[in-house]
Amino acid sequence: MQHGRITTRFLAFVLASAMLVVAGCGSKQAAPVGGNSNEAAGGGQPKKGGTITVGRPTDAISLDPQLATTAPEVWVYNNIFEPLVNLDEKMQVQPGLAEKWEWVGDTTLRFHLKTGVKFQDGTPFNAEAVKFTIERVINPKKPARGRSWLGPVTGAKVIDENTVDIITATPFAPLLNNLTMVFVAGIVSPTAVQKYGDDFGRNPVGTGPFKFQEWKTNDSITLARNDDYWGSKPNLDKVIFKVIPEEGARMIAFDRGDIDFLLQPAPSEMNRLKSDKQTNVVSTPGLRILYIGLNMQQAPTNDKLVRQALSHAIDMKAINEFVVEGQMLPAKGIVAPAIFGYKDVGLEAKYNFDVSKAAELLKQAGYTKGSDGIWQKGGKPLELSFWFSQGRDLKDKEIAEAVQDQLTKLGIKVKPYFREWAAHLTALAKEDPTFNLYTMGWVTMTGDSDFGIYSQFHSANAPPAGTQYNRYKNAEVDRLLDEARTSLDQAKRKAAYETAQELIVDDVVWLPVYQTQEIAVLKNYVKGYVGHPAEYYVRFNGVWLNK
Amino acid sequence: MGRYLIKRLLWLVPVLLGITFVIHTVMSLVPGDPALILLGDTATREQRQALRTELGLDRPFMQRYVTYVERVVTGDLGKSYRSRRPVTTEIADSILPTIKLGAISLLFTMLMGIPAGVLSAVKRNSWFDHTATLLSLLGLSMPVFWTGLLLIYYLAYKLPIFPVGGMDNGLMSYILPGFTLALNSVAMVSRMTRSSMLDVLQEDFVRTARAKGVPDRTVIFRHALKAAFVPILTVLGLQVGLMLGGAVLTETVFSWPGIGRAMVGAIMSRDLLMVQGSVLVLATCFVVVNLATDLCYGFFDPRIRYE
Repeated sequence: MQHGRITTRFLAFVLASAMLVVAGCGSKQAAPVGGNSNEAAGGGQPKKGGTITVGRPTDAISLDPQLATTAPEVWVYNNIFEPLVNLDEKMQVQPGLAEKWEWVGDTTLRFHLKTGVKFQDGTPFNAEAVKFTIERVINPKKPARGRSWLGPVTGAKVIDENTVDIITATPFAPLLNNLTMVFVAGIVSPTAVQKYGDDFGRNPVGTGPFKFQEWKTNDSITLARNDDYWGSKPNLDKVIFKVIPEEGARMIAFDRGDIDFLLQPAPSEMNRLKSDKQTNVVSTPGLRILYIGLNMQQAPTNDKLVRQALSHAIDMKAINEFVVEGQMLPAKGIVAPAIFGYKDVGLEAKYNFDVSKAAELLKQAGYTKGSDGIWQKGGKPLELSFWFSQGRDLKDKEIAEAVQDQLTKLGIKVKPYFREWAAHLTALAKEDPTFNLYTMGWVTMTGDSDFGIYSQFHSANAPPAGTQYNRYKNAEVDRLLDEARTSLDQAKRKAAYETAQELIVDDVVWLPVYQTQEIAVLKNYVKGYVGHPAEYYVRFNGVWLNK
Repeated sequence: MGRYLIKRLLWLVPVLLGITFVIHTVMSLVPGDPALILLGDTATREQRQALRTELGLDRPFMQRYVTYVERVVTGDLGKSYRSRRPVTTEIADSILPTIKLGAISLLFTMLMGIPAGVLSAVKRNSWFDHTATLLSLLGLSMPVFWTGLLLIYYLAYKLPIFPVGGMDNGLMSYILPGFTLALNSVAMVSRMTRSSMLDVLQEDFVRTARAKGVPDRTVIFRHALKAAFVPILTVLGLQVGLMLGGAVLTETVFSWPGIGRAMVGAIMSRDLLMVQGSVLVLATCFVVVNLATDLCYGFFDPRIRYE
């Protein structure tokens, strides 16, 4: 009996609470938006010690940089491993484990390594370790997940203890930038790899400022300060990466102070967080472009006039304002402005929203509006097959729905195909797929246009060979991209990319929607954190706690 | 009894074979190429091919299945595509938290569901009975992610008694997720207890006991409940299965590092061996729990014989 009463009271309480929540939501007012900065610096002299707890939605799979390459892993091991060279916040290549480098001929990139560096297990860092890592990446039997980033690399050659050559079969200009990617070429301790074998991912050993301490699967990963770090020693004793999959629960854990640093915050909470005095929101313009891609081989998007019409038929401004709710930056091109080779091609003016212009272009393409209000040609309605997914990029599904709505209103039929991410990716990669439009995000993490433009617009990279889902084929663009890939003259490369961007935008291959912002939310006592445009780039060397 | 047990355990073999075959088929039919998903959208065809060969995905369906079964017989569930760790290790990491959570929730279910059902039956059509009916309906219809979040909001944030999630705070960590996971089962069990008790309370032996002057409490809990327990046990057994395999939402809301979450992650990235291994282990648990339930029947109803 007693028990029944408690249950009754409790459930009555839950019900009442639910009503309060619903009522509360209705009356909630939009909070003022605070200023953005990409730095949580200041606060005087850094204090030593303390533990920072980072909240994130997903656990890592493995901490082996040659095996697991997505955000949940890289966030963690970017503090354990280091590449030879680093990208700074301006996306410029800076010395890392290598002090200097130079091209020796067209196909050899020579690195002069820092001396006196040791791995966290005491193994000396030297040219042998670099060779070991590179060969581990390109091992043909068990290539690293990020193997493709090293392109035509055939191996590494030890010149002396502190000098190593990385050799390519053909000239490969983006090599230096690609080597900055820790998830491709983070240097691993050869002794540890040999000792642990396939279990290296659970016992990672690198040269970075923090060393691995403990991993509770699907719960937390703990890193401890590497007291023997060769660079300026980190301030924090420990970094704990805590997994809280549910968005609401993660926000509550942050508000409660269980976590000090929030990765991938809930977009709906951003306004509140920005106005909270206890919280610091660090936003940095990112490198990912979310776009609507067009199939260049499939009718009717194989018709340039139709593509041009589409570029004027979609109100991207409204989508960014009302669907994305201003969380991201309107895309200014097919790569982000921080990327080497980027050119401002005046995208907004070129693809401006202009319904009458879109109609004019459709007429030129031979379409007439039928009595049902649908554009048609030869008795066949203008119908586009639109493939999209959900949850991979912010509001991807909602954007697709908004585009569908806008096009339908203009008399263009849209047949939507929604797929779960893995199925979406596989469907796009099939030979001769039947889509006209698709959504996708692409991030030029290397800071070099090769990774953004070659991979996405060179005909050699069309499926099944690669991931150029648009099936774009323009001989001049191919030539320019080949030239930029193989020339070691940066000025020449830049010019080639600029021309290529103009041609691509003119051909209407992508309809870029937004450029991401990399957002970290921290308690205001977390100091010294500097945001980085590259996704996954969360490093805790300089971070300290003012409490 | 011994023969019955052996017979039932032998039945496990075709059941598990069937399950592996079904899951193997389903996972092969699900669109989404594991090599493409694992390598991401930057990989070349050659790389994907190399990975397919490494994972054995380039071999025919039946050949893969037979190799898998051959290995499973020796206790080897293969290696996870993603982490390259043995699937058994991956499962061992995450099944224990799920079992612990299931145990706590079973406790909640029994402590709340059975007394509520008994009282409903005894005081049939009273205000208590009606309230319990209403609450059971609520318990069955409220989604766990909603209830869970409400509990977190009020009892971990507004009134910070419990942790938001995870397993770091000892017994306190278990209360909210255990209760949330139990809600559905409490409703089921209390309903079943009520109807089963109502049947038994009409029986002659209950009237006889009462006529003999046996105290009410003893009649209800010792005589009637024991006789009414077989169907309750059946429901409890099924609920345990659901708690093990269906805890994924509770695990997600309460950051519980259990097998449900591990399995969903594996499905999303098409980590086939991990999915197959997890399903196999969960199915085995389910079958074993059901067997244990069947064996318990004899305790509550001596008429049941195992042959």
